Amino acid sequence: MEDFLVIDAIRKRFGNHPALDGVSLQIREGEVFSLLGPSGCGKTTLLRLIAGFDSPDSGQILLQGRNVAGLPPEKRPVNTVFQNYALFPHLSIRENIAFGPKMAGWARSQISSEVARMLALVKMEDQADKLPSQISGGQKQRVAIARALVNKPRVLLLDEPLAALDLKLRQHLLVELAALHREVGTTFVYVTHDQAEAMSLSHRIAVMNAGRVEQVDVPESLYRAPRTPFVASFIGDTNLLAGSITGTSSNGCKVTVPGLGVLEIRPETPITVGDQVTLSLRPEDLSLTDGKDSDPSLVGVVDEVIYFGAFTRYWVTSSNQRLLVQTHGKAAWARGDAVRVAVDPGTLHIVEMKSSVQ
Amino acid sequence: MKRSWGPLIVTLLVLVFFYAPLVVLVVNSFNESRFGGTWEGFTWKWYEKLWSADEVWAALVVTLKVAVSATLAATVLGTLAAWVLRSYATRLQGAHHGLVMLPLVVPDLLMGMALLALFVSVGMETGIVTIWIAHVTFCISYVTMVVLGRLRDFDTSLIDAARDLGASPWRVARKVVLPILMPGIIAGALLAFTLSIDDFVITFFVSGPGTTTLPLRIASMMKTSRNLPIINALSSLLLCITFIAVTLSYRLNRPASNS
Repeated sequence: MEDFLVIDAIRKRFGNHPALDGVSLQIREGEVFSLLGPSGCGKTTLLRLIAGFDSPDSGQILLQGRNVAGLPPEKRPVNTVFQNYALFPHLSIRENIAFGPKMAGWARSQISSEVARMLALVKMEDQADKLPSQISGGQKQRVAIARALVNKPRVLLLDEPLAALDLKLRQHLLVELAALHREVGTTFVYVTHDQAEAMSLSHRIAVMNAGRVEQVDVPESLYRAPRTPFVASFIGDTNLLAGSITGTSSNGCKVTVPGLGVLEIRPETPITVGDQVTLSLRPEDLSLTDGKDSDPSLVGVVDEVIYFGAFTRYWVTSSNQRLLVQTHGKAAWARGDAVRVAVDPGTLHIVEMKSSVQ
Repeated sequence: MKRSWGPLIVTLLVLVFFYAPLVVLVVNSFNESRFGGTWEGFTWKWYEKLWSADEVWAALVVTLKVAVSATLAATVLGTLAAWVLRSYATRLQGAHHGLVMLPLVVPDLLMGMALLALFVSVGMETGIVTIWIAHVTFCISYVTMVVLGRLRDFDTSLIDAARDLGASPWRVARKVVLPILMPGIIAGALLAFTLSIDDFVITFFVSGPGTTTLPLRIASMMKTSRNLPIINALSSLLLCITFIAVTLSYRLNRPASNS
């Protein structure tokens, strides 16, 4: 169901700063949809608009076809997991989880059975009568999720729920979150600035930058086929290189890149000879060969070698281009070696195009 | 290791400095001697005289009426003022803050005279009502100051969380904001109560001929040395009551401070 939650041409300004500049998204029922971007890109603002803490200057938020943009947060069938969890410090874990059902006026027996079910779901039965100040950060996060989910929201909004935790715990909770989503099946809208978090958890990701959506796609497409330089460099590491289209070939065209020579590419959009393009090359799609017998303009020098265990990274300067190359296993080249950078065919990707035809 | 007598001596000096006057006062309230210079034997007679000093009890009733009602009004208004100061940022924020806090620094003498001038100019007869208005006026600032301190630690995302979970603004205030602020509100109320109960300067200006508060009554009794031991007895009683009240409020507050 493509139109479960529709964000339609949302604009929001804070003073002179446009936080959201015409954002449109379609979120499907039951998916984990991530809003990914650097701080200040508008992802949290968008989440707050969906939750109802702020209202948009223009545009609509349609939940199952109903515009909820004008409703206060208490009237929306969505619940939020806050970055700092925002657990009520004066209430026990059990009372925190029971807060929503109490506000909704559920029957007492139903409240206690649903709260017990949630406590079991997040494995907090033993801690139910403690205060939030008496439990750990990871436990608080689980209580915050239980407190939101007990209300059976149509959409669960998660605002960087793992940002306050250390790396080990974050990885552990990420696995738990994925399992939890499989169990409850609620639509998750997940805000994060951490691309690894978004990639591992999400079905689809919207990459945001400066109040706009750059690209919406499944994680693999974002990585393999980024459509803008921003997406290419934000998702993983990449080499962004300038090239120009210098000819055509049987199944595509030829692009000349300083330091790499003439490469073949199959563009997805119409392109003409003379166009200037920006290419994205993932470090693992590059390899190094001996540079001795090569054309001098294609020979580079290894500046830096860093061994990471499973792979090795090289920084190579070739024709004033600095390239990041990643190979499996231990280092085969040393600093100062003359090498030639080879490109795995088919991995080249155009992320920006300036047509020569004005 | 050689033991140092320094800390012990300093401690004793501090204790003497703080508590010697109180000890002298309590001891003299049981002293047969009228002037308290020498110990002439134990007696309850000053307490008996105090018991039959009707004008003292009348003044105490006025003081308590004013203190309780002024504390209630100032706590409500002061808490609201603190909330508004914290929640609504405008260009005049600094000015608003200054206006609410000004009574903390304005000398009591000036406050008293200004209030009296106001009451006279609008034709209000001085009495328990004018005392009450004056006390509410200066107590608000203290309550606001204490509650603002508590509000600084208040996490506003709790309000978002409560609304997100279906609470209307009114229920957010009742179920989340007030319970969390309560220790601060109680502390502000206690401060207001103590300030109201022993205010002398401002009350002196705005009290009327028929209404006298305890501090005013004690001051006028001081004019004749005959009454000195009775005042000692009264002060000792007040000391006891204060001690009990502080202990109680401490005990009541303890579970809240755990959270």
